[in-house]
Amino acid sequence: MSKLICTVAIDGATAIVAHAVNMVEEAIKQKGLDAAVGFPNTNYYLPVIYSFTGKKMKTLADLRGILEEAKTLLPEKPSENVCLPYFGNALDAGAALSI
Amino acid sequence: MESKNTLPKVSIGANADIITAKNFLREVIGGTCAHSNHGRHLVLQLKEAAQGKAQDCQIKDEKALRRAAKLYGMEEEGRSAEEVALELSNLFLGEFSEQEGFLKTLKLAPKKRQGIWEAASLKPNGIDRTVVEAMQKTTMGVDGDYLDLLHHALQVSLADGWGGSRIASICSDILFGTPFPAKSAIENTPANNKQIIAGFSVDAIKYALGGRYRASFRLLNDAIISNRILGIAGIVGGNNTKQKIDDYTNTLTLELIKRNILVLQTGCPAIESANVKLLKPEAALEYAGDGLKEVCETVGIPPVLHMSSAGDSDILETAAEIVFEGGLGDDIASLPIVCAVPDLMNEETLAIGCCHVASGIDVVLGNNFHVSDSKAVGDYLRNKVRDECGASFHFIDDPIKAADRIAELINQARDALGINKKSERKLFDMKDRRAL
Repeated sequence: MSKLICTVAIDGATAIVAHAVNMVEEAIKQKGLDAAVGFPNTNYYLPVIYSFTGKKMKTLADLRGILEEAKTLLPEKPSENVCLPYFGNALDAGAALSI
Repeated sequence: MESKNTLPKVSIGANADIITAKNFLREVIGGTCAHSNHGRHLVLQLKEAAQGKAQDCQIKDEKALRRAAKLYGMEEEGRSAEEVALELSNLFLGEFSEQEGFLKTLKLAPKKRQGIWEAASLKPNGIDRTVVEAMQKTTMGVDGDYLDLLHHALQVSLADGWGGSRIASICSDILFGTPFPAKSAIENTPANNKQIIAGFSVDAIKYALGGRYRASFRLLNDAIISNRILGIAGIVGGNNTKQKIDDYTNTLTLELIKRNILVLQTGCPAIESANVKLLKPEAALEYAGDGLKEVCETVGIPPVLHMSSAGDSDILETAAEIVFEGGLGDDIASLPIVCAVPDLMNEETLAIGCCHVASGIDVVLGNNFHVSDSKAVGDYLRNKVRDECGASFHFIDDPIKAADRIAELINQARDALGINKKSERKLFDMKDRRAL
């Protein structure tokens, strides 16, 4: 059961990170790398990314960089037999998804 | 204090208690030298790598290097890996040569345990000095007190497990990479090739339990507190040479996981367990008790984790990490952890066994010591050492009885901690959370 859930979680996170990459690349095409991201007139940075990584997202270029980091959190799916531990991996996939 | 024995007194009044204790101490010294000199060579290799003098050896795991530097209170931020490695290797060389101060690596143990060593005068100076001092005491005409000789055996063993062995593990992680679980094959015969999962270093277990952001022993501690896992048994060293090959270790391992005891193996036993497929996660579902099965299935780990070589101090390090994680007492002796040594086939196993007892972990032996000539020495190792260190040796040559005894010792620890009740899984609603 846990293995199934972890596999689905890793699949889902991989799909969503890929989707986010496409969106950011599309936005870069339209607005350029230096386009600002954030919450205007506040002192907040994108909070989930800030809380996980401590990095302040100011431009689309920053977002491209952080998605590269998110990709490093995406693990392999557990194999059918003799599989490696998957729980920590699934948590990382969740972190990648949140970012 | 000396026991009454029938053996004749030998030279300069040394009776059987003293001779037996001296022989025992010599064995512990031998094992300590084997592990610690291995550690020294690794330190020298690290130093050469730091100086750019090593041709085929480099710093492979910089994170492990910086983590180690922090453990010893070294400034590492803003400095190159080579600078940090040079300072660390010099600090480690000092661990061998220190004459007056005590081993710095002892500070990696829980504070309470350090206090126990201090109170019992067991803290070693530098490894080399401790070994030479003890060796001198084994020579003719020196030290006529068997208890003092046995204390030296414990002290020397601490210089092994919390000195040379630990230093060897740290250097090996830095130079060759911290082990992480990987599939590997054991080939008995070309047609009999078995795949296993091995390489559960302390860091790898932390990662498996919490991912990159919450890597810790929390989940394991909670599984022990909630009685899904009864406790932990470390199995150290090789086969039992007096029984059919592999029988003792394999029977013991099976009996332990049936009783919901997670097994950590170092060195040779891991090869034996692989033969009965226990290092595959899928094996958990077949052999393990319900609680252990649930945890293994959740995390994707086998019920038997292969950690490292027998010379490594991984079980001691794991025990310390579990104390630091919290919820299971403030000393290693309070933990539901027991160590089994199927065979004292070499001096290294004896040294590391002594270090476990001196650190507060009970050790179950499948073969007895070579101390039958002295009741007093045997009695100290099996009973009296408990008053000083909170643990002792137990000789049990039947693996099923050994598993029973291990479960009994674990249950005693659980009772003392007040966690020996089955707690049901509770789903917290907002009201419960506010009450936390």
